[in-house]
Amino acid sequence: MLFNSLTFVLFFFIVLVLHYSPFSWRIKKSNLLIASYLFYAAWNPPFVILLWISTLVDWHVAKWIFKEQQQHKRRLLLILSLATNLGILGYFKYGEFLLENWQWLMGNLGIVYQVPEWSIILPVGVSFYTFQTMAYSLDIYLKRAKPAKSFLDFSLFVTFFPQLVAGPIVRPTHLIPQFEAPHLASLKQFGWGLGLVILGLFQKVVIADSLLSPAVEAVYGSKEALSFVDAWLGTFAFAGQIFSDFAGYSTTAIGVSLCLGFSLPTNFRFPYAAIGFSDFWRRWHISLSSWLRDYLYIPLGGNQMSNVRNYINLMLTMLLGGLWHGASWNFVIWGGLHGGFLAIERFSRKRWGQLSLTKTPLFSFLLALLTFAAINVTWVFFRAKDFATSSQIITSMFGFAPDNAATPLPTLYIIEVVLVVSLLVSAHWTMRNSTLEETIAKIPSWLLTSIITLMIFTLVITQGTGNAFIYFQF
Amino acid sequence: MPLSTSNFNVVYRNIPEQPWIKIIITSFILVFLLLIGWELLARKMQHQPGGYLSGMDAMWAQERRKLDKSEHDIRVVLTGSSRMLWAADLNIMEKQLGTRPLQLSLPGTSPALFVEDIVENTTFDGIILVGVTPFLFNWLTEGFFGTDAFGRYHDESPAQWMSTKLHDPLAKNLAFIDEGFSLFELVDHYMMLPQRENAKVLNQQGWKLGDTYDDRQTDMWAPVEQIGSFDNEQILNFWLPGIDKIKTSEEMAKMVTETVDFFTPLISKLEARGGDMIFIRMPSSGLYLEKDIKSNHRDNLWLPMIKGFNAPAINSMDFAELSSDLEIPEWSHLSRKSQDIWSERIIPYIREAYFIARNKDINGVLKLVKSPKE
Repeated sequence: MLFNSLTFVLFFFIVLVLHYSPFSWRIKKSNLLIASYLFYAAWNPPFVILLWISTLVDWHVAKWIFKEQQQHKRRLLLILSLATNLGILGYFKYGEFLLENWQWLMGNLGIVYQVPEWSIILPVGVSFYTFQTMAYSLDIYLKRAKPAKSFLDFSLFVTFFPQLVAGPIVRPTHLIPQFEAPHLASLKQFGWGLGLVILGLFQKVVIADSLLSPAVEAVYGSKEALSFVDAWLGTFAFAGQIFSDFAGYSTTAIGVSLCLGFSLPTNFRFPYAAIGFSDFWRRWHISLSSWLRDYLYIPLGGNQMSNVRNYINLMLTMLLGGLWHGASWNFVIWGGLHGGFLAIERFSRKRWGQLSLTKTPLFSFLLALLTFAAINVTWVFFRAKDFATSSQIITSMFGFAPDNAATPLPTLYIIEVVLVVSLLVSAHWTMRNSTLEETIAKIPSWLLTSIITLMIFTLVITQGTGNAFIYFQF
Repeated sequence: MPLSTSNFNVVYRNIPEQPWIKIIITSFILVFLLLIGWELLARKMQHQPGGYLSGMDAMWAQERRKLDKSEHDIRVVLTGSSRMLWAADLNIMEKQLGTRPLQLSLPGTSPALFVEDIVENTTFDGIILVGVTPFLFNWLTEGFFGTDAFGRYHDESPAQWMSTKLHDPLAKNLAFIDEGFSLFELVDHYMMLPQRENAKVLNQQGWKLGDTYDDRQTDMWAPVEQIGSFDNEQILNFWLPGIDKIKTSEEMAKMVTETVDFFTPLISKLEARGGDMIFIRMPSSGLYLEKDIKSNHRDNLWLPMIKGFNAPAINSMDFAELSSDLEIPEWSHLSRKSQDIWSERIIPYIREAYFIARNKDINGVLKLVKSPKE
């Protein structure tokens, strides 16, 4: 079920009525669990079985791991949990990709291998909930946490509908305790929650889908080489679109949870005001980057090993992070570029970080500009449908466009992109060292009322086409 | 010491100090007032309530499902592109035929794959009226909208189904719930800015051509009927790119072969189970007609195809009362008034064409329980 749909409006209304009715906490949690399954089944009912498999396996395996004293048995149990979750992920998400690459490899070895037709549908949000449940088993295995006391609470943790399909990826230690004791929103929480829902939907429907998406489509759908200006503007538009789409989802999810009395962690902290790539990853998709840090990078040895090993760990983490986004070499390149930029940054910081020049505001400003430009370069690989398209756009962005390059962007789109992306980046810089909450608290209430009115009105008259959120496919 | 999932790590969100309930209630009241103004503006611009229901794919899928349920007793199916969609008045045709036709035509799309779907995947044994739009008819693919329409028919999710159920009652009562009146559609079409050289022309994007009601009854939008009006010009702009491209006679000969090869087995199969197909070349005017004449569509495509099909066929362009006497304000589709006329006049031609080709009365195939015009 999409947040930006009439079905969700009705669904959420019913959930709220049930949640604020005089039932026991256990019944309210059961209502939330049933609602979460319905939310997921609204796309494709059979895929709820995957949620059940993941829930049952991790619930039991985590308990066994906790009780088991012998390390090799604990490891085997962990492997069972990981194999189940990664098996689901691998089969549905990477099966076709692996087969195609296998075919290519065999072909190069002179062996003709015909790939069977792959008509498996990707279950929505499979990467999010498998990572969330894996975190539970890993936490127990790494002795960072004890198992949940209640199966109902654990099931709700795996399935909680606001963040089920596109995050934030929540840690068990953050969410399960909230299910243990009654949580209902105060009027202020409820109002702010609704405010966040409106902001999130505005980001998705108005900014991402209506203001920026047409420019992105025009540029990335072009079959000809693009001019320098069009290539950059189309990529800036995508930078704005992907942020507004994904942060819009997270903001809505946080708002929906808040209306129910639950607190989800912040997933984005003004990433386009990042100075350097490590700063970017502390601000972009925070729940994924911290997951990769805690469950992949650190177990690999993190930065506690030799320099070379440190860089290898970094690159491996980012390559897998790229592949997490999708089964395509373009995502691997995207991850590789981020890994490369992080490695360069780390090397430079070690080598020149103590120079007084690096502490000046001008240097920070230039570094911020460079970071934003480099992030945009990486977005090309994220958005382009294939390597040929991304190469073509990168060529144009680096000033090697042919003389007769295409200029598909009409004046209106150019104005929209420049205006929206400038406002977005300015907003990120204005709030860089604060939080959304702190900024909102400073706005006069009449102005806030006007802004919210305008956002709701624009949302309604935009009549979104019900596009799915981009991150659903991941 | 392992930390329990139940005792730590919950960081609750800060709530900004604001009179939230007052803000939200005031905002909703203001939005309600603004929407009244927006609704009035929509009606002033001739967008009428009920004119746009669940959208093309959802409505097409809904109609297609009627073929799967015997209680609908569908005897006539209309297929083709937008010309058939805008030409048929279902009430009038129902009166004339004695049975209500099912509207499965889809804009920008050849009927080929839809006819194939009906013949291969249903037990339908009535009449398929196949609208022929020159050249588009021979494009034997899903066209612009076929993939989405089939997708919606085969894989409609429960959420999509529910959204349709919630959307339609709103659309029936509110004029502003209309794709053609969405904010950014209006901005694209009404905001006149200097045109950048070789850039996408926003005025050449699709624009509102009609309103669709229950059963996919589709009528031309009133402002488009006024020749020379802004909205009429928008449609003409949309048709212009590529309208002057003429196919070579070799290309057309290949198209004939492919089309005949595609349809002939389907016609035989449908006929074998008691049904039939009738091909109707839909009327056109302006530059579209000029293109058809320049290409000699009649001799290069229409006649050889019909000969190959060996099925009943009507060329609307052969009869003034089915073509040149009618209003085609934007060269391709009939006005509301002409739709009524065409729908009434075409039926005797259908009966006659069927009788000539098969030497029997069409009523036998229609299996009517009530007589026409009853």
